Amino acid sequence: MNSISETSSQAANPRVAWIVIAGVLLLLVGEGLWLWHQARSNSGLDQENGQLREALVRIKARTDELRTGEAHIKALYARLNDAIALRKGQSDDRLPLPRSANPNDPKADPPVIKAFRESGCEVTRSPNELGNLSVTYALGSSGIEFHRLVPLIAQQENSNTFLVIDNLTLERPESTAAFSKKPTALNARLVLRLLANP
Amino acid sequence: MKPLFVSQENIIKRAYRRDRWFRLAGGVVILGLFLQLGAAYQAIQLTIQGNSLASQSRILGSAIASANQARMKYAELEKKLAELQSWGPILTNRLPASAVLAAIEQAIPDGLVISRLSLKAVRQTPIKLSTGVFMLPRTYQLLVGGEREQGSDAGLIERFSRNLLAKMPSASRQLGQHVGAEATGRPGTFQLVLELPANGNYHSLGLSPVQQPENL
Repeated sequence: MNSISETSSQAANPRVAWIVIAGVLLLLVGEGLWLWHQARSNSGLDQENGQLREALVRIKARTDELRTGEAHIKALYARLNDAIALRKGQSDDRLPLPRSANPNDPKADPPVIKAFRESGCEVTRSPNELGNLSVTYALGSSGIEFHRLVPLIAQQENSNTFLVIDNLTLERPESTAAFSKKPTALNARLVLRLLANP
Repeated sequence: MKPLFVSQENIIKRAYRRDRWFRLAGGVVILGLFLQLGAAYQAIQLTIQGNSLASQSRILGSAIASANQARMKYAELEKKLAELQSWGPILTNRLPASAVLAAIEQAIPDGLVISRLSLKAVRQTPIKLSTGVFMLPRTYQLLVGGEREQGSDAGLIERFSRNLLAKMPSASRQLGQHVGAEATGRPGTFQLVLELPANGNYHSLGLSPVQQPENL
């Protein structure tokens, strides 16, 4: 090495070069990190937008479904809701009148029970309630033949979709012979439940 | 030996040009400058994309808000639909007792007569509705008791039992059968006990499935 080089190496501090290199590298790393963070945030936003788009499609589809099925839903709801029995002394949205306070008033019976009563069944309201949305009725008759009883039950089951029979017992009266050809009124006992408002 | 005719400033400049560490630093700076171009391009791209995504997000947010507003008009209808759907299990699974009675009537052969019949719910399942719980029978026990004509075919009760079981809801099973012997002057008795699941599958009773309110 000649003397000028030696002197120059002594005069210029090489640490300056290292500081420059480190500074440039730091700057590049910083920029890289910023770009990475920005890309990640964009990707998150994109994903979020995708979810919002899906939610929007779902909400619109649901609204369209409701709009299209409005008449059908209302009609079906009205039909089924009519079948829900009101507890005795309970009126739609009015305070009970003093006249209708009698829980044994047959006028307050649901139509299904009225139909059984009109067909000659004895009806008693049973205190046994399963769940908090049931009214239970015990029915008894000894004057209805099988061929009248089955259509009667079918008619009531069709008219009230929430009519559930818990117990049904049919017995031939002992006074009637086993293979009698005469029309026979059966001893019938039914326990049925109706869906009721709480 | 110190150079006498070269200034200190020139010596330092020469060091910056010739020294390998300063050359490396220079190289890194030039490389960094080139990379700055790429980084600047990327940054512009990402910023434009970010702004576009943010504006899309704002548009979508307001679209969702207005869609929700539109849906709010049907809140009452939605409530009714939810209630209809909660009634679904009752509508589909309820066992129609009249259909069971009609099936029994069709299954009775000549030579047998029924004197006692009972259909009893032995297991209930709770159906949760918006206002409470309704218990729906899940399994019924059917008891059919009667008499057999004197001198009739011995396999009559067996055939009746098979025929009856075929007409009952799917997965029904026979729990018991009792056949009493004929006594002089009195017909033989029989008793069948069947278990009927209230599972909504009532094809064998001649009923088609109820439409699920979920399909609305």
